[in-house]
Amino acid sequence: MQGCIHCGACTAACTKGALKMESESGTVSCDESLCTHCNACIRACPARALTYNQIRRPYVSEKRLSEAYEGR
Amino acid sequence: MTVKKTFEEINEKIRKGNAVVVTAEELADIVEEKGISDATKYVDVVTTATFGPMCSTGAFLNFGHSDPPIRMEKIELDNVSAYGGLAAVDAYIGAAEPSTDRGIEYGGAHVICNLIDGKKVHLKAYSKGTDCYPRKEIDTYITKDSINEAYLYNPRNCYQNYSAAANTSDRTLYTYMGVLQPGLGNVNYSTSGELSPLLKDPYLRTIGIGTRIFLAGAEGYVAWQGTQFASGKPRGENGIPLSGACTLAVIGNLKEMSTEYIQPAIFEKYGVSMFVGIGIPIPVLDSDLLFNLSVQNKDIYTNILDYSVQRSNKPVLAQCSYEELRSGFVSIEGKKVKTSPLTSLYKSREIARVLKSWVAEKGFTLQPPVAPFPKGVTLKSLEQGRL
Repeated sequence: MQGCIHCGACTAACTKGALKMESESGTVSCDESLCTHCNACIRACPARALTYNQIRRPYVSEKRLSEAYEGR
Repeated sequence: MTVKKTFEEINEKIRKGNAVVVTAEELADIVEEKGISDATKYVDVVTTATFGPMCSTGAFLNFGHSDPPIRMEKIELDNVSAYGGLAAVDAYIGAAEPSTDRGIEYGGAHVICNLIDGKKVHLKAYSKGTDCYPRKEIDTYITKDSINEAYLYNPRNCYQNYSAAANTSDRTLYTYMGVLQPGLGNVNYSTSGELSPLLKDPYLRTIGIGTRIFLAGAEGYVAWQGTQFASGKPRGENGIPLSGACTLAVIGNLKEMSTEYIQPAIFEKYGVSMFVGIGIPIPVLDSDLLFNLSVQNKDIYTNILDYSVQRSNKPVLAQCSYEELRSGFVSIEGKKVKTSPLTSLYKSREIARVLKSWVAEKGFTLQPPVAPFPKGVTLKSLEQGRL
């Protein structure tokens, strides 16, 4: 994520456990399978490094995206 | 034999390029291998760092005089109000000031970073006009190169320790400590733990007025004790305070800074703040100091406070170590609670490494304190209606 400073504030807003802090590296990681696109992390990011598209794209697998589009 | 070193002996090694400099994290392995006594002989300087949100941040600016001149009374920079109750074209812009058009999405912290990046900033200033300063209004653009002085002066940065935050109420809280989920949903904490400067020299033996530091990518200095400086707070057996204690006021040339190491922070439903990168090199003067420098996260404790209690003194829910906090979970009354940091360990490590290279390779010598900070200071509170 461009602009991410890995402060970890987004992990506090994420109630699904998708975003978490890696204790050794001190970086934020995301388990996209747990992301429900609630956008709480976007609002909570102090650096404004997260945008809607970033949440949609890197955190959502192409398979899940295509499933979502087929369902519409 | 007891090992003693002086600032001057260590500086001489730095000048010759043969000082042994390590980061506070790297020191742990050295102490484990050599023990305290041999590590004291071997290591000369330990670098410490933090990159956390610090609201008490701002910059003094001198715009230069226009012709005809103006005595600026009301000042706006990109629609962010700056304090003009100083001489004619001096101002202080606080990082936490929101803009009149974009609210907390753009504030003083953004103005400061745009200046650092060399971007144009819109200046509007107003005055009633005087015989010596007849102009009543000016509308122009400035950059860091078009103005005289621009220096960061942060009244309170670099907290020695800080209590972690949690929320026992049934509603989400939006605070300067980030989002606090209801029902003890999470714990947020904000220090870099074993890398944090004032945790590694807990009695401030080597840090005082005049200490040369890394400030936002530039050389800076400790100007004074920070506001809300409280050296008299209760300490653990290793000398480390168990809650927010000492702080630093720091100063440095904004024109030489980099936004790699200072960035705006926006806290949802709270306001604007600023991530400030600070690094402090600590000389290994003796084995006592080396012991302090080698204290690790497992032995650094802080309190977890309940932010749902809207009082200045919040109840302590639990006490935990930074090792527990960094593990991702802590236990509060038998409940496993998720933890999140607000200070970037990733950036703090980077700053400690950069400062290490400054000292080891670029002759960044250590300035002994010009004056020490006071001992045993306790905080006063503000009471309604009291004379």
